Amino acid sequence: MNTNLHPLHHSRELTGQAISDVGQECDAFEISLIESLLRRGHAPGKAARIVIAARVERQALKQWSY
Amino acid sequence: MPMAGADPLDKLLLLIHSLQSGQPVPGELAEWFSTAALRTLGGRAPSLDHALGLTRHGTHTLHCRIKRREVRRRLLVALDLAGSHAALAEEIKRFRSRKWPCWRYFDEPPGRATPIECQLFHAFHVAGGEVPESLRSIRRIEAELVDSDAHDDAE
Repeated sequence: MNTNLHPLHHSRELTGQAISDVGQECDAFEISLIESLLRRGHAPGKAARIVIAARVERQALKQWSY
Repeated sequence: MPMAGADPLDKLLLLIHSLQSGQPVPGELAEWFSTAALRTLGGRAPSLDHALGLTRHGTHTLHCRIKRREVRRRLLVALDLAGSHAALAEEIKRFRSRKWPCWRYFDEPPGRATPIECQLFHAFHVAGGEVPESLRSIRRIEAELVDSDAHDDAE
């Protein structure tokens, strides 16, 4: 595995907190992304913000891109 | 969720999320947008996107930026699935030569795709096949996602 992972990567509580901060149900990719970000030291709130931004971006790409 | 110093694109995306979800728009975002709109209306800025700070990335359009960001996020998750930078580089090479030629016209990865192939499919799909595979590129992508609040670079 990657050797530079943050020691907090085992915490399910942090993942749960980030999912809660998103405020809506997360899909499998979003949960994986949250875990990847938390492993690298992101705070749950910041991980949630990135996931929310990613969700809106994916919506734009899916509905409006060609 | 404090937004001080956040990338204007991230602010815009969170504003859209608030509007779509029916959640109250954070005061900081409301202030950011209304000030920019008033500055534009008052003739202090040439356009709303300029006033919002959305034109700071040179020739890169917002569309190009969000595509690049999606590729990076997919590769970050794929990196954890692969286990190392070198393993991901090999996976990308293998995917490019063996899978992408057959799957490139699909809208979604086929059901038989492995988890890492699913992430690579989405990365290739968004990037039109132009996904970096060098170790240096993969390390840079990971570092940028970790270090940058905007989760993309300022090219």
